[in-house]
Amino acid sequence: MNTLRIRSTLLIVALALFFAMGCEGILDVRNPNNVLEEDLSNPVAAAGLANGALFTVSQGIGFVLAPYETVTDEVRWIGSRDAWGQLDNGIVGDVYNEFVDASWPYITEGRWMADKAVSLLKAFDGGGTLVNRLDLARAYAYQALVRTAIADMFDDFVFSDKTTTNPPIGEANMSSLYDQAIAALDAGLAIAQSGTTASHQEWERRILGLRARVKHSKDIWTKVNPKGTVPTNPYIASAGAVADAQAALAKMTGDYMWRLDYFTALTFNEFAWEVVGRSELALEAIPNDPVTGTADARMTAIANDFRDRTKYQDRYSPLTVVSAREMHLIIAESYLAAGNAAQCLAQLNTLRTLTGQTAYPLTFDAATALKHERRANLYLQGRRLSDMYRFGIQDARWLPNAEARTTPGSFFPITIQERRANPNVR
Amino acid sequence: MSRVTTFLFCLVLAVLIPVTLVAQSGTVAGKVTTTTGDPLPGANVVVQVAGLMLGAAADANGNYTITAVPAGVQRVTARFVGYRSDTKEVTVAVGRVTEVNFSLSPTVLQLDEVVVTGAGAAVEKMKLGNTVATINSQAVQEAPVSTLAEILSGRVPGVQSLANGGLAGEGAQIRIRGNASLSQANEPIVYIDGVRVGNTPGLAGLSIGGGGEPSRLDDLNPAAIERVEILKGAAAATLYGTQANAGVIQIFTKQGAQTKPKFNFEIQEAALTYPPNAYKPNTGFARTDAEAARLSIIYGRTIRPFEIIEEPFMKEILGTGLSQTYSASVSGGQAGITYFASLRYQDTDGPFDIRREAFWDKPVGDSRDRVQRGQFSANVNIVPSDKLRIRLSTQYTNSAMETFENNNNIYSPITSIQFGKPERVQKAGVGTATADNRFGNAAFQTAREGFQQQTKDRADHGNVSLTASYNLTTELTLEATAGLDYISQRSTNFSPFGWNVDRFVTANINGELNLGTRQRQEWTVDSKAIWNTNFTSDLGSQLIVGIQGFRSILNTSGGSGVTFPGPGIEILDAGQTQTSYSGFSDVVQAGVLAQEQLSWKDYLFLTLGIRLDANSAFGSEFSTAKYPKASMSVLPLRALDQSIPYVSTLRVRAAIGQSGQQPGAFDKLTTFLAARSSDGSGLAPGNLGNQKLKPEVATEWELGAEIGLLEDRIGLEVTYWDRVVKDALVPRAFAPSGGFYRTQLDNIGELKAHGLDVGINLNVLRMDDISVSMFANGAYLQEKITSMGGAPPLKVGGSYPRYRNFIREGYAPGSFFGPILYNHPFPIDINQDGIPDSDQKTGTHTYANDLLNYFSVPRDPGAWAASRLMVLGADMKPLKGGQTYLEHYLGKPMPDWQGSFGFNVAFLKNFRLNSLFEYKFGEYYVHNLTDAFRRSHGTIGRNIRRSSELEAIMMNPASTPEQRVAAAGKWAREIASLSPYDGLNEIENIYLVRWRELSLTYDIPSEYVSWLGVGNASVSFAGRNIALWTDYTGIDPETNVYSYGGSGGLDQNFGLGIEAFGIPIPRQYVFTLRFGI
Repeated sequence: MNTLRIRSTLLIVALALFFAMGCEGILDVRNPNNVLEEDLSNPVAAAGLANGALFTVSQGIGFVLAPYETVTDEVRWIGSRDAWGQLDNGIVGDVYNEFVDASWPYITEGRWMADKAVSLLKAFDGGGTLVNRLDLARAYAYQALVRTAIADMFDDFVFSDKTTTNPPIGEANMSSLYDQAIAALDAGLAIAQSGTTASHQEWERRILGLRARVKHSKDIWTKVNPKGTVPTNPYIASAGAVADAQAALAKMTGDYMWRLDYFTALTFNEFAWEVVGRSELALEAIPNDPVTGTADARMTAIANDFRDRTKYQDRYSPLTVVSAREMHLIIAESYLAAGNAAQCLAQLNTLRTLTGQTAYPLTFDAATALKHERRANLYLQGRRLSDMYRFGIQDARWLPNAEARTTPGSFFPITIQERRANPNVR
Repeated sequence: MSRVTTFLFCLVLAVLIPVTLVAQSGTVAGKVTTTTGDPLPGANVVVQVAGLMLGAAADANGNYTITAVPAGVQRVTARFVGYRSDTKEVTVAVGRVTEVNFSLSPTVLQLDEVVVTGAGAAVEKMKLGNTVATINSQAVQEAPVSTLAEILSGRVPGVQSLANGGLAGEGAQIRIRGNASLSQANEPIVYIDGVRVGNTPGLAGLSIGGGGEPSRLDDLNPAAIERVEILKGAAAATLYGTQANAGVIQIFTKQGAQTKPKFNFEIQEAALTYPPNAYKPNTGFARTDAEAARLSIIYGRTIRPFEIIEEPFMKEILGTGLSQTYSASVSGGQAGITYFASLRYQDTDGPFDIRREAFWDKPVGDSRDRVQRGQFSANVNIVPSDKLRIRLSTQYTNSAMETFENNNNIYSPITSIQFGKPERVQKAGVGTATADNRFGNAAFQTAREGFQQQTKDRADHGNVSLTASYNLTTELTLEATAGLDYISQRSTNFSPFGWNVDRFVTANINGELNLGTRQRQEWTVDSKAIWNTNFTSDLGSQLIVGIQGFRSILNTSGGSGVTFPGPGIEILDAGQTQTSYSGFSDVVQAGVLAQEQLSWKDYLFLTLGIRLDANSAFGSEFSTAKYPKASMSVLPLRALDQSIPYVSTLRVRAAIGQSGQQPGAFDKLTTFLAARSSDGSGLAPGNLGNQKLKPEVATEWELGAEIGLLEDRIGLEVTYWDRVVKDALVPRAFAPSGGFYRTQLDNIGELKAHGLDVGINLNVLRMDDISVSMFANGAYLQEKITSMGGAPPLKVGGSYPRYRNFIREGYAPGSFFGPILYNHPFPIDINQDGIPDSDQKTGTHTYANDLLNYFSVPRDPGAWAASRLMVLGADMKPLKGGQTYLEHYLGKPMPDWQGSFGFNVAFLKNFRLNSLFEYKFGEYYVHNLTDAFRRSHGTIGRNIRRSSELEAIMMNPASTPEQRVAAAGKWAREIASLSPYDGLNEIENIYLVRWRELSLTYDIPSEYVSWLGVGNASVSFAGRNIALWTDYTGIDPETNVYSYGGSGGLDQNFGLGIEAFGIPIPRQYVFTLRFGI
């Protein structure tokens, strides 16, 4: 029996040992699905990082644009999900609103990824391993773009890093995002202007135009904040914005636009999907052009393009972020702010000529013209609510006690997802 | 040598090690009868030769034969369900037939029953301190069941089969003792003949609304199932190690006996219907004379403004479904070899009847609700010597399923019909309408357009296992099992070019094809040595040492094509826009187990065991998981040699054990995902990563007893259990502002649960011409998340506010949270001063008057009910109108009590009547989201009678302000729902009793069929889901928006009790003819 037991035990042990030895390494499985974080420090990832920033920023803006536009008089709710109805009714401060809440992680991801790309690409650049410096310029531009979108659409924001959370920066400090954007664009512009290739020139155009927009937006933010009142003088005269707009215009030809291209990327544009695909939202009726008395042809064209299934199917409509039209608008507004209505009108007429429209009569009210031109030429670009606030325009669907009506300057809050997970936000 | 080759080499070697040959044997034969002398066909007779078990089943006359029995003194045991086993010691002579006859007495306890799962080796239940539930094929062979989930449903306390929905082919989820994990699968792991089944549920890479998703467990051929063994938790499942937290189910397939070939056939025809009143009629009213005139033309009767129109739209598409099942099997064998093979084909076409007539004779689409399964099972047992036994078993299923978009999905045609309002119905040519809108849809699509979409799923599912058992000595047996479970699946969702047949839908109207495929391999290798020895005549020992390995490889791929050039095309590359994806995962688990079972005489049994596991999914800072267990079983009456009046059997038992649950394959890694931008491919944040990941560990103890009374005519089984899951893997939501919005697993949680499993069986009557037995079981369950490690609550459904299930510390997982309405006749605060407008007085002016003033003109409920209701804040005080607070606890979806009861009657010799009822009650809540939409939603609802009536009052210019105010109060208290008050008036505390099964079987006397060459025949008439008693007001409380597949993870686990346009569980009426030759 002893022999038997010994033999049996040995056999069992041998079996187990054989298994253990023979199968050594079998637990080391591969993960070919994703890129590991440590591989990001490889300079060959530079373009991928910049592209990733573009992807996340595009996605984030597309997501936040849907609820933003619903609050304005550009879009109305026609579907089934009543949180759109809340927005349509001017209720912008609900931390539970599912669509604002759904947009929060995407826009914050865009912010983080753009910062990550800039950080790593700067390190590559500093180490002399960055092959194409325009990748860094691009990353700066995306970093600025996402900050501008956040500052335009949110009342407050939080900068955290992975699991390290921080408190909100505070409503009063939201304009600092514009400052950070301008600083990023300064750095990006220097790179774009360091070369002469077509790509360098294109990025110079884009960055100059974006910087003009950011500077102008910062001044609008100052007009509508602190929130609660309609400014008596809503017009902006920003020398920096005008200078950049003029410089950008000088490099732009015709009806130039920089658009986030969702179609080529097949990146889901949530705003387009809700309007064109799912049909939760619909574009409002186009207002009449003050000159022709008929629906503004430019807005009609923008709407038709946005809804063109043959070009963008039901979810890939592009989003304009910088345009020659906006440069004209910035310059025109600066004249109006300075009390020069004639020059304002002249600039607007230049814009109308550019867009194929009959010029305003010289006697036309410049302020009315400016308001309409901004509405027509920045249509569906996420600018309308600020203009409505500063110009004292209210959507008929805003409920009597909705924040949008009672407290102009109200934008989206930090939403419930962040509040639950970030102990610094209350 | 590659890792794969190494693995295969290990596997083959592990199987082949035991193979050697030898032998000298005889035959054991005899007859098994009842104590009254009636034969017991199907009774099992086995000879246990150390670790080797030889056996045979008794034939129709009770006769059996076992060959190749080693010569010498052997113990022969006869067993049959419902009877006490009997063991006789005989001497088997070489080359001789030894006759051994058995006469078995009835019992409702089954302590002699031999089980394998979780025990390491075949052992009687009485020796185990933990519960091992068994379901034998005899218990369900006449029941109207066609899937494993239906077999499990209601038969074992604590085991729930959650049907989710009633679409053909829809898979059920299985829960054992609630939820053992906050993040990982709460489905038990399933084995067939020792080989793990790769259950990758749902459609491949597609979602069509949550329902209608297949379970690969339904691929199992029910005609081939001999026995199902169920381990309910960690105390029993320790030897299965990591992944066994949620329990283990092992299926044993039928085997042949040493007889000439026996053929059995079964033909089954079934009719399926949905309960006629499951769907409420659609209601509405005309707002104007012109609208009334138009509707009068359409409906062919006079319609007046503000009079309620009621149309039972859903009945237009309800019909009777048909199901056919044909199965055939052959079994037999001779000395040294037995075999069993089964073929089965099932075709079920669900009750939806999509006809032209329902759409004013307009052509309808090609979508269908149908499942077809072709199944083949076979096994062969080879006994080349008295020491070696080899078993090869295989299963194969080819399934084809078609289903509808469904549930809470705007593209579901079934849901679209429920969205419909009678006053919005349009008929081309009537009024200004140029196209039909048959059911009055206001948004998204018409139902006819929805029926153009087709969802199909094709799957091949194979399973093969090879088991070898070798008696090295009379005491030492080596066993090895190796096998593969393989699934290849292809799912498509297709919207044809021009599917906007009513010119209504706008999404991808030029066609869209989404395709997903996945292939899964689940490899199993399991080898162990079993050493049975008696240290003394009283002290026996069984030592088991083994190794076990699993490898799970999953390949996924798919894509989409959108906007086709023309009709009739259905390929990805025809799309103007195409996307594609692919993925790969590989998880390896390797473990070592050891168990010692000591037995003192025949009344005291002690088991100690441990399992060590390594897993590729663990973080680099973790190496091996250790899961110990211990259990004890005592039969005190035997031990004390005492008797208690009326008590015929008494056993008490206790067990404690651990098992684990592993994280996902790549959860430990910080990753960046591929992200396509217009400037080229890029990278986006993916997984935060956590190198400290380790398995969550469940520690479960249970204490129980079996009591037999009145010669085991009454059997009572009681088990109290308690489970603590430590290091629970919580899908932790970190602040999105940190850049990574996806949840990251972290071992920070603790989940506690306890419960009671109770079962009682009674042999009420046992006479020559009639026998009656009754049974009842119940399971009590309480669960609580005791720690989330500081992580924030997690919500099912992401930011979608309408689903209210949460994972929140201090509550049961999946609990509902939402608003509580201020308890007031008019909780309406139009002026937002925090006081109901009907209450506050200022001077001579009353706000009641203001409320009357507000309602002095017709008011759409949407104008105030969505923004001026008063709900309670965190301090339980009313908030101002328009403010909301959604964090109040509203109940839990898992019932306190669930179970079943029923009876079995045999009468007039040849008749048997069986019935089963299931129930759920206690704190049991279901979220009636269907009626929330249909009551309150302005665009896609307000189409059930109560809300239409109130809305008509409020909007009718002829109503008085007082009438409108009264209606508004009722609206606030009964009707108002959805955002921003998600959960209000939506979550119902309910009970249910479902008459699950009824069958009447008649055994046709052989003299009537023998002239056909038929040896035995029977016919059965049966019903399934025959009736439902409940106070639930929605469609069906057993439906759930998250089917078996869905979105997985948090939603799959805890998206429970959400009825959102669900498909009711159909009634089935089944006729079955069985015969054998």
